[in-house]
Amino acid sequence: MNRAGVVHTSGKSGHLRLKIGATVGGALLAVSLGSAPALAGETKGFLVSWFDISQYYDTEGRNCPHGINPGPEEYYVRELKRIGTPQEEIDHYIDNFLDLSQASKTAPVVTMRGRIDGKPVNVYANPTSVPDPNIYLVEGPHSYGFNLDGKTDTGGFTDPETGEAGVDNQVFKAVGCTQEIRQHAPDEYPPLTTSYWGVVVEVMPALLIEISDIDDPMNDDDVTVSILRGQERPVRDSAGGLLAGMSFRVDPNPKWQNVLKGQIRDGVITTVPTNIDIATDPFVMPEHNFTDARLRLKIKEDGTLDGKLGAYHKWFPFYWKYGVGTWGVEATNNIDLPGLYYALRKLADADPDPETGENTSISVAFQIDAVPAFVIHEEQSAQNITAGRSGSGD
Amino acid sequence: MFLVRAGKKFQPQIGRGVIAAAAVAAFVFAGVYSGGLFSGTSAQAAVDASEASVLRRLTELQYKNIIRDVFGPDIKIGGRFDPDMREEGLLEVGAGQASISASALGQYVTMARSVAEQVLDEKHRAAFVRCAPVSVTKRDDACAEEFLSGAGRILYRRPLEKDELADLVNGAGLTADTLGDFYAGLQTSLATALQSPAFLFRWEVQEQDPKRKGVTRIDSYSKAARLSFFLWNTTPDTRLLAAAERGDLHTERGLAREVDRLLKSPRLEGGVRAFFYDMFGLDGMHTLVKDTTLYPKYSFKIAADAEEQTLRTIVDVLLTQGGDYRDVFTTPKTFLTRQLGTVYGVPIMGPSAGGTPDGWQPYEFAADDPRIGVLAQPSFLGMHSHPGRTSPTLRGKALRENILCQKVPDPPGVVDFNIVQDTDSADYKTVRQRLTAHATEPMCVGCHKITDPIGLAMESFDTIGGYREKENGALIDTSGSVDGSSFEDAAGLAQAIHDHPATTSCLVNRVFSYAAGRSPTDGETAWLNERVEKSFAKAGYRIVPLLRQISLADAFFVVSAPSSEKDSTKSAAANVLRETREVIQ
Amino acid sequence: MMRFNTTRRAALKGVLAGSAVTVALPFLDCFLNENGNAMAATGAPLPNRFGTWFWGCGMSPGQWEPKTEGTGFELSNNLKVLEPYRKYVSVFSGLKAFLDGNPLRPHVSGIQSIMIGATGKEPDPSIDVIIADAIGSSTRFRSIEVATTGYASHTQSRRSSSVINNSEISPLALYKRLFGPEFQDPNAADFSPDPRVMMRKSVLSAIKDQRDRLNGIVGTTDRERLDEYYTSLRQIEQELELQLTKPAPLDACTVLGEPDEVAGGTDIDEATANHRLFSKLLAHAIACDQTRVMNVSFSDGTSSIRKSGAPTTHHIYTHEEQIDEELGYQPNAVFFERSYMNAFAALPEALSSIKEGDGTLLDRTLMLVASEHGLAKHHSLENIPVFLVGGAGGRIKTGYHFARQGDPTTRVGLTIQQAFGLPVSGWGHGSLHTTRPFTELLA
Repeated sequence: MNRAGVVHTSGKSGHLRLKIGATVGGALLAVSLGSAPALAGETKGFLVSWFDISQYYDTEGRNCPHGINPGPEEYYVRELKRIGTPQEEIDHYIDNFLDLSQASKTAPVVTMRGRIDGKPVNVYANPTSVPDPNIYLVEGPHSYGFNLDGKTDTGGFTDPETGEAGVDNQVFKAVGCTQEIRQHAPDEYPPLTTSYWGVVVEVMPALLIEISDIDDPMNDDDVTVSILRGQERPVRDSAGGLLAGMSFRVDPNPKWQNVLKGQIRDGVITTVPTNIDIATDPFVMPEHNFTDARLRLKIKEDGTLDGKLGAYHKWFPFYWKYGVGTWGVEATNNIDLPGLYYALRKLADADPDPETGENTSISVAFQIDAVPAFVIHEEQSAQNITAGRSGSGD
Repeated sequence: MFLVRAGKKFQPQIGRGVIAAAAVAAFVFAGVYSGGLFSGTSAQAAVDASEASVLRRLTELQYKNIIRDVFGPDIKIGGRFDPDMREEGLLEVGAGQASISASALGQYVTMARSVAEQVLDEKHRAAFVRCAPVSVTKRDDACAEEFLSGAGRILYRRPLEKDELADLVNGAGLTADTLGDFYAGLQTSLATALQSPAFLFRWEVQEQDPKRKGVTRIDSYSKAARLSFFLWNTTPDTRLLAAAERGDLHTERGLAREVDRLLKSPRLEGGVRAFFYDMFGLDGMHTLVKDTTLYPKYSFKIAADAEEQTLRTIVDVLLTQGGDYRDVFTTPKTFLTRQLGTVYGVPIMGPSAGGTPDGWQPYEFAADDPRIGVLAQPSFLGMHSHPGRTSPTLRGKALRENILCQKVPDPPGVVDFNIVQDTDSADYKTVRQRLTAHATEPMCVGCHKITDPIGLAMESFDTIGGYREKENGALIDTSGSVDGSSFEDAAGLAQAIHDHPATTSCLVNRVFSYAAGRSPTDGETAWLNERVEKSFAKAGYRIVPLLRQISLADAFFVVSAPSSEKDSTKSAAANVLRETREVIQ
Repeated sequence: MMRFNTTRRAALKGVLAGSAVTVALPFLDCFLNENGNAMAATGAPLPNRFGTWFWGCGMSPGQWEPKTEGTGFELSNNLKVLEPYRKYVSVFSGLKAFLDGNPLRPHVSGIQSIMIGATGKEPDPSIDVIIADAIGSSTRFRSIEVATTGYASHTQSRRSSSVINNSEISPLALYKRLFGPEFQDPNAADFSPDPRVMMRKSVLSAIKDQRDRLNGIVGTTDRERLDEYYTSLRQIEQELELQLTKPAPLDACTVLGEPDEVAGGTDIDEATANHRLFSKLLAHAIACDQTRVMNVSFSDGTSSIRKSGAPTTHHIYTHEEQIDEELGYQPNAVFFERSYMNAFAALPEALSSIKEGDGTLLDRTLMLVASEHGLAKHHSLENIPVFLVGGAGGRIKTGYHFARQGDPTTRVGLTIQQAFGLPVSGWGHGSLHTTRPFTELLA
């Protein structure tokens, strides 16, 4: 049921009356403003509530046939041995390195385990100053994502959802056998990633998705999907999730306005490959710059959005996201950081450096979850507000 | 037979200059004291007060307003207030019955000390203590008297009696000498004044009207306080106290001048808000809990916003637009925050460029939208629901009792609820179906007949006030009726309440009860029905003329004879719905 | 605002960590006489304490009454959780509240019969106030009221119909009231009266001097309210007086660490956790003789307690849930009844964990534990569950079950008053008036 509403705003240009079609309990709305005559197709707005590397949990245990990569008790022993530490000291170290009150003494021991010209260097800033520990990589048959290069003999995964072969998601291979950043159950996100995102989502501006020009929600040859940055940050609801139905104004900076052409087939929205820039965690990974990026989105019955993004991305940031945490991440989160560095570098599969020939980018798939939200465009000429399914009366 | 205010002239030594720093801190306190009559009369000369006198305990809001208005908004009030009591539909009436238990007084003592400490700390004292003590480590009675007489007059809403002042000054002196700190002395005495019954209760002193033999009225200062709390919900300012002192409030012109001044003040909004906060029971929002697993959107932020939304809507209709009270129930205009927008499912601009500076955005629904009017707002809908689901019965009952002043009888003692029980039943998906099954029982039908047809029209709103069309997959039937008018949905209900004759008579009754702190007597009820309500109608049901008429009425200040007072319960009982009686009897 | 999440719930467990030390402290017998039941220095007996514990919506018949009468009974389903304290528990079944023509106020009348001895508009004080006036006048607080669900108005204690003793809802606030700067540690070595307190007390005379004048300008009804204010003021004065007097040393008294701020919740887990905190604070308040009377309201009469995530409160279940034909009761309602007893157990646990003299605080405390209905489904005033828990310093015998179909609930209240040595021969109004205490219990 559609009911017209009027929003009064007092902006710099004076008192505007902004007429919108607000919708309650169902999908929204045609936009019309003042004399603007156009009545476009339906538009739905969403607030992204989860955005991280897409993984597939193989219930048959085929992802990591050699097991899960060991923790610091093992890799610190190996590394300390390698640099010639006496066994007694190693034993003492392993017994005590988790006593964080002594971190100022214990952290430098493993931090400075790198060697360049025989001199100790910080291993996290110089991951190649230690040999490649060859961490275990994902070997299972399935990954969500896309066949980015069109070749079925690369990538090596089949998408369990679409059945597409040759799916490229090399980042999943790199992280999927490491304890704290791998999935522990089919319906759970990885522990470290979850807590990381839990912090990030509260400090980054809202990441918004707007799907517009929908004439037929099941089949439509021509829809527009925009990935946008909001001016406000998300707010949590009382159950700890992101509060659905909130309004966000779009950041006017064109850099963060990714407008993609798309289509709908059997209710699944896909987009034409292009570049996508997303502003994320301002501290560790301020932006994601995806190339050859495409989306696959599905609006679920409860009004939320489930989607995948497939693209190439520079590989180094996927290391630095954890590498920046140095010893703390390594000692407490079971991530062998130089191991992750080498894995990503070896698995990189695009954009060879013209001089060295080494690939600088890596294929990746991201999981996107989103809740309904209002997306407000503030351009004076074409005011419109869009929303996903909203209202609390489900 | 009455308290004689006579005695020598007393001239408090408070200067006229307003220290700049104090300007914000003390709207009342920093005002000008022109001195006045001061009485040293003993209690024995006081009136043989009739039962009609009402001694009201300050409500939490009044206490906070007074401290803010007298000492400034940066004085913190840390402490727990005993819950205000609601009687006959109003906290203001409950305030006329509430006393102060030991634990409540303990809390007042703590708050008094804390307020006094802040007021007299190094940062604030200059704004309030104009005189310089002879020594900061010793007693200085003259300076203490200047401060305490000024503070006392504001806090007690009348000049202090001579011995009252002497007690406070002596206490301050003793403390100053014992602790070696003049300001600690003032602190102790100010704290004492703040825990005195003269401050914590609102007193109404009766006296004989010198011009009309046999007529008892409330005295000039009591009038000032009654007007100020009625119209501003705070203590009288210095101008009003001065008018009381001059006796102006006993003259028609003088009274009208002050009432008009109060009505024109921006503080009227605070008064109107306080009244509707009381009448609509918005204090219920402070303790409202919803099941956050089922309704994760609901938060205390949303509860606070919902309360504010209703008050803003009312203020907009009644004061900003100067509109018809009945439009409160049908206005398509309201104000929303981004959070409230999530309940309504509408987009709301955040504060900052393009949005509204305070995060509140005016929003207008279509005239036939079910979400029009204050009864379709999350405050009303949420307060009269269960944590995880709605209750047409509670909503209907609240509307009858709070808005129409009709008493809905309590459920009979022994009820067998076995009829409806299975909430997961495939046969009874909606509340209407379950209630209908329940209300076929003869014992239950009487009450449910008067509440449910109203409440069921609001079934298109879930327990937190969000709009819905279905419950458990079944379409919700929102048709209903109230006292003869039928409607199809909540918008129709809103219109029916707008047109219901009890809507305006209830308001008139509640405004009077609120102002007087008690239900009207039979005589007053007749006056309200015959005179006040007619004028209210003539004035287009605008609130300001109604407040003015009651504020100026002789009946408002004349103390009724004790005999008619006893009949107040009878007039309340007359409000019980007729159809109920028929069914129950 | 409080967000209810698992982290917070988990955090509750550690909140009162500081209190764990209390049991371990050695008892210094030098303060006691040889029998260990009186203070050696003064010969004054160790104080007895009283408490009330209320929950709403009664209990399902058959789920709480012991099968046998007299002593040596077995605790039935709902009370099984009290097994560790069984020797302290007496159960009264079959008791009834009489209305005598007063309207039934569902969820109110029943408990008023127990607390006030009346179901009408009588202005009488509640039994805890009667007992507090007898035993609580020398402590800082005549009584302490707490409610676990976050509503100050959830209380059953009153001095009169207009002076309600509202509840403390925050353990932190209660902590600050009890053990904040004004707390005089009875075991502190040195004592010097605070001159600021002396001054505060002396200026109260300014308020007392106002009394006659104010009395003169109010009518009779308002004068009663003013009298109530002055009664309260006397208690404030007394508190100040006590702060100026060196307290007698109390070995059982230890000071707790400050609890975290938590808000009560209507979620059963929240309320239970909150009640546990309150129980520890109350036990310590008693050990330090800050009060001798406590009142706990675990829920309101129309109990708004619910399971997390469930829309239905206990109260709604009582009316709407079918009686399961196989079980013979309403399973959800009984779930709440048992949960309440489970929560209650924290209080005897806290009391018995603190040693005092030859026993524990539980030996010297008597708790009146009661609800307002029998089967709440029908607002029944028959078979209202009433229990006594605690030894009352030997003034009452424990471990009895009385099945007294149709006896007035007031018999328990009268028994309590006589046990505490009050010179009363009868209590209650109308049909609730009784002159028959449970003499078997009176030592």
